[in-house]
Order: sequence, then structure tokens, then C-alpha cells
Amino acid sequence: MPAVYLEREDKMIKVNELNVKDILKKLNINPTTVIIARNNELITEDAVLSENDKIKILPVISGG
Amino acid sequence: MRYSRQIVFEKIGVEGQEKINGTNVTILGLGAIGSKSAELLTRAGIGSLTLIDRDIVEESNLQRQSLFTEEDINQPKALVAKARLEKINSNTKIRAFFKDINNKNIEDYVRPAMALDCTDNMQTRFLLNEFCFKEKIPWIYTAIIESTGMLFSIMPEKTPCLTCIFNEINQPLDSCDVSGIINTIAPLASSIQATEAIKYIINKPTTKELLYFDVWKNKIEKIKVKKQIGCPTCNSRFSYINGKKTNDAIKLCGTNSYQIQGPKLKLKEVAGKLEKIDKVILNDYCLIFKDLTIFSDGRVLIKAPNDKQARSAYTKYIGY
Repeated sequence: MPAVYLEREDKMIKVNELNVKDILKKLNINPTTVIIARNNELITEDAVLSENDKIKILPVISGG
Repeated sequence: MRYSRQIVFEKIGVEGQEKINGTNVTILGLGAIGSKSAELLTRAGIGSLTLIDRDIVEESNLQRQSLFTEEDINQPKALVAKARLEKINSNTKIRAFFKDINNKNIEDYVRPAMALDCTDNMQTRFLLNEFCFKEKIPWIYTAIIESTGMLFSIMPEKTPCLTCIFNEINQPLDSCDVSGIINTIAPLASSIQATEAIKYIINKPTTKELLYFDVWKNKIEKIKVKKQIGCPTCNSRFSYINGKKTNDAIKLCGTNSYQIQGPKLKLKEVAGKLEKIDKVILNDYCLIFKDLTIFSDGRVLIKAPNDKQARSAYTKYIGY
């Protein structure tokens, strides 16, 4: 099961889904409001994960 | 000697200092990030700064926007910043514009050698991204909220651009007024931004990674990014600089306000109408009425819970 670290919530969760798009949908996260990193490399919502992958979900920041 | 400590710093040296002294930097936005970055570059001896900001100083800005004091409230940030920076370093030439940047005027204000993004919304950033790609002007995306920040140095054609990293945003992002902000994140973001600017100016490599930092968690993350083959901007398929997508009505960070851009207004005439309804404050720069701050260039800032109510208030009091 892939592990998902939610940066803003500072929380790690396990998910059954392998498609990033499905993970975001399950977590009720709008894909345009976040970026996703695997091994500190940006991936798109079209990426497919392996069972042992760990990803981070970070919010897009727009304040200044 | 004024810059002796910087010249002794081996990564800059005499040659680097001369480059700093001879360079213009455009700073777009003079909020928490922009005011601190402007100060750092001015103290570093930057040759000239072009400052652009559309807002006036509000009391709630004073917590984190380091160039402003209580006596500056209701004054345009760009003009206040210019006066303060000229006192810090009279050698730095400063041009200040109390303006809102849009696709029609961006080429008049954003100039080489580089631009610092200190804005508070993604729509202006997407506009800046397209403009800088087209004009080959390097720029540094920088944003903050809560205790976190994000930064990426964009060198047109050499690095990924903003739309290689971010999708088109289709819902409002959290703003400083909703999520809050600790004032210590701004100097951290500005320090990295101004350092990246100096590195570019003296021909040293800038970061190739997207930086994410959190001053509360003592964390800095580096995320590798790459050009997207289908990136609209990198393929010159523009939509902001040609006005297909406008930034006419946008939610502003930190104020729970919306901005609506309409036709130019004669403030005295507008004041004459509105003072029959309620109290009006009119100065040389703006007209303040209820939750509206009205500018002669047609911009109206409206404090409202959503864009619909903002538009409703605009129609009700401005009439267009």
C-alpha cells in the first residue's frame, strides 16, 4: 500500500489506490490546489504508484 | 566603505558588487515579501529598483510588512516604500508605480534585468510567467502563507516555468486572512528570494529545485521539477498576456477582499454621489466608502465573503 504524507496536516496515511488521481479523489483534494512529490521529485496526477511508494502532497501557495 | 563586507564575502567580491550596483530589478508587489526583498536589495546596493503595487497600507499589514509604519496607513505602498528605501540607500534609483498590473500594461512596468514575484495571487503570476517567458526575463516565484513558503527561480527557456509546475487553479486558494500568517516566514522567503536574485545578477547558478519551507517545522524541502512537454507557456500558447484569461476580478490575499477592474472613475464625482448614502473618505489616492476602496484608474477593492457579493456591491455603488 502506498503511503501518503499530507504536508499541511503533518499526517501520514496508507491508501489502497495506486493512481494518484484516485488518491486525490478519495482524499477529496482538488488536484489544482496541490503539488505531489515522489522521492522529492514532482509527479503529475496521472502518475501510477508502486505498492511501496511514498508520496507527499503539498499545498500550492499563493500569498505574498 | 559601504559594501566592504559584501565584497570581502568571496562569492561576491569586487566584480560581483559592480554587477549588483549596475542592475535593475523589478519588484511586483510590496506586501510582506516585497517590502523585505526591496530592503535587502537596496542595502546590498542594487543599481535600481522598479516597484509596483496596487494597494494602500492597512493597519493589518503592519504585523509583517516591514517598510511601513502607523503613519503610512491609507497611503500607497509603492510610494511609501520608495521614500523609505531612498533614505536607506540614496545610490539606488527607485521608480515606484501605484498600479495594478494587467495584460494591457505589464510591458510598461516589468523590465529587465529580472523580476521578483511578490504578488498575492496566482492569476497575476500566470500573467507574469507568460510575459517573462516571451520577453526572456528571469523571475523568481515566491509565495507564503501560515508558516510556509514556496520559491522557484525561473530562467525562461532554461528551466521549467510556472505552468510546468502548477496546473491552472480552478478554485480559490487559501489566503492569509483565512489561514493566517506568522510574520517570521516573510523574512525567510525574502532572504532566499533576494539571495537568488543576487546569484543571478553575478552569474552564479540559481536553484534548479522548487523550494518548500516551513519556519514552524524548521524544514526546507527541495523538489526536483522538469519541463512539461505539453506546457502551454513553453510552447508559446499564451492565454493571459493576450487577454483570453484576464485578472480583472480576483480575490486578494490577506484582506478578504475582491478587486474588480472597471472603467476609469472621477473620484470627486463618485464621492458626490456616494456621500448622500453614507460617510465617504476621499484623499489624493482613493475613495473609501463602506467596504469599498475606489481608485481613479477604475479599480475597486471590495471586502466581501464571495465574488458574487463583491460584484453586487460594485454594481450597487459604482453602477457599471
